[in-house]
Amino acid sequence: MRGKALRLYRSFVRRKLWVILFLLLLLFLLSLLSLSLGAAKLGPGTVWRAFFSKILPLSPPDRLSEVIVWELRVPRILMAVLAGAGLALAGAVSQGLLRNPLASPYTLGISSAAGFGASLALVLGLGVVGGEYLVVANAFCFALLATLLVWALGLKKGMSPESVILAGIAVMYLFSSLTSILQYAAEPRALQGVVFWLMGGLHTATWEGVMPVLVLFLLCSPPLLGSSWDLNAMAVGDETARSLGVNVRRVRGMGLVLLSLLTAGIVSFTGTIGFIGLVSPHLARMLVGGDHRFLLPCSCSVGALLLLGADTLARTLLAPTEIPVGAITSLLGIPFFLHLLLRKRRDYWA
Amino acid sequence: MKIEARGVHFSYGDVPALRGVTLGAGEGEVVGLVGPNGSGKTTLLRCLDGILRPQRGTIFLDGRELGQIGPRELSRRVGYLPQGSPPSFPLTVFDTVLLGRRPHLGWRVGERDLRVVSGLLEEMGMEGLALRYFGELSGGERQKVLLARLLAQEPEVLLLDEPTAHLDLRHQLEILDLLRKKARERGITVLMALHDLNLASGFSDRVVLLHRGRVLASGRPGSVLTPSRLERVYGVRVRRMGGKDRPYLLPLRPS
Repeated sequence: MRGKALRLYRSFVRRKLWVILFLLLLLFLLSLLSLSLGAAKLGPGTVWRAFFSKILPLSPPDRLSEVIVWELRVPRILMAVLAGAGLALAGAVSQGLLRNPLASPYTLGISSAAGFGASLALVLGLGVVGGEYLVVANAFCFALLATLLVWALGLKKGMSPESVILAGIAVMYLFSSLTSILQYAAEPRALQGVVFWLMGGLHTATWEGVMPVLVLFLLCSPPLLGSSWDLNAMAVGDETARSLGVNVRRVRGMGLVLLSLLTAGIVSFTGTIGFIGLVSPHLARMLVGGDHRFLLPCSCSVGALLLLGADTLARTLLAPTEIPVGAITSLLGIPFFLHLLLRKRRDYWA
Repeated sequence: MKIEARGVHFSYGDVPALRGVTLGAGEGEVVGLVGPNGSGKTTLLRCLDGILRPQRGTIFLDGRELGQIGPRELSRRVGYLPQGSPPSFPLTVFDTVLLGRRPHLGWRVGERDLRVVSGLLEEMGMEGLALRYFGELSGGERQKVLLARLLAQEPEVLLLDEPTAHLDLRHQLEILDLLRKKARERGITVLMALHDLNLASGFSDRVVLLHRGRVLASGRPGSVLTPSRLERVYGVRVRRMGGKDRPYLLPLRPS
């Protein structure tokens, strides 16, 4: 039958678009739900009036609920969505660039370097800038330093995936051992701060944090999403990609820098939230397959959903006590992920 | 000459791989590149595709120096199929073949691109595999998919490194038949490295014998593949049988 492959492919593409649309709708609904849940027991009516009082000419129900909705819940939800989407995108791109299902922004040493920067500020009060942004700025600068190290080491070896991965792992161990030394020497109060930072969480999310992360996301994600074809070509192998006109070294180098920048920005504000960057791309791959044109946006949606869901649970399950969100993502996510992994019949990477 | 190498030298570090190779292939010509391991076949193909830049000598495509042609134009005009099957990757057969269209398209896939891909899959009898993942295919199917990717690129010159390695008899013949057909129908130039001397003899218009980075002989299969020359290059005694033009060669023992 003529055109059979074409018809199959068209419906395959349509299905993938529907999946992504459905995830976005789900994300919207979850955001609404998350907005109306919290330690302060505000009724849905109060929440909605407080929410719309800033947008529509309505009077807010009272000052407190306005503050809770606009200064606590909205920035936190935005941060969860941005951080989830950003970490998942960075994970999907790093897996594609390095042709390795175990790659994630964290295996490139970014988070452990950020952790060291933050610890340095928390324990010794040392940092690149003083004041209230000491910890954030320190984390960010050290994350960039790690990126630079990995990039330079990789470049020396022609940007082969293996050299980048090994360089990333070496940098990761270097900074985690430095952090351990700091923790060993730290005062109990400072140590507590370091432990909390390393666990990661969104409880510190404010508008001052959301804005820079949003800007970074808007700057880094278009070129990363735009490299989909290059990533697809590189999946088949560097030589094939080069014969298809892809400048493999440049794409890999630029991609690493962009995804590191994005991760560094997120991690500096949230601490190290594990699992999202590694697993979201795999979940997305099970949903839409490996074509990066669909995989990257789908990973973003999955990551945002996962982190927003986990954070909503983290702040409501034992309210007013918070559970560290990193613990939730791993505890609930890993069994779910393993279930999918064992159930799926198609083995994309083997 | 469609594609031509003149006095090409290439070394990996200080290990020379090509020491002054001059050869050419005309439009619609099928050239078989033979020679023992390490004789420079793969290096030569990489140089011809512009992946490696020769330290001395020049490659010409339609009389233009390869260095003068941009990467995108080059990828539209010259296609390369590297040796061996890559490790598995998470793309479907259709998406893999569609990659061949990359040099021709922007971000959006056009109607023509989809038709080229689906037409090739039909021509090669693989339309039923369109949505299967590459990793789920057999070795022979994988190689056919990669070849379809190369053909979807619609280049004027095809460079293939061992396109029949590790394949069963039927897949070997299918692939070489298809290549010869494309060369005849569309005037595509085919340059392929082959280990199997009998396949080279049976499917090439011309055979080029490489030895230690140099062209030892070039011409019709029957005139190049002589027992004395093969013994010198491979160190193997060979019995020659069959026709004068396309001989059949039976390796006997190391000499």
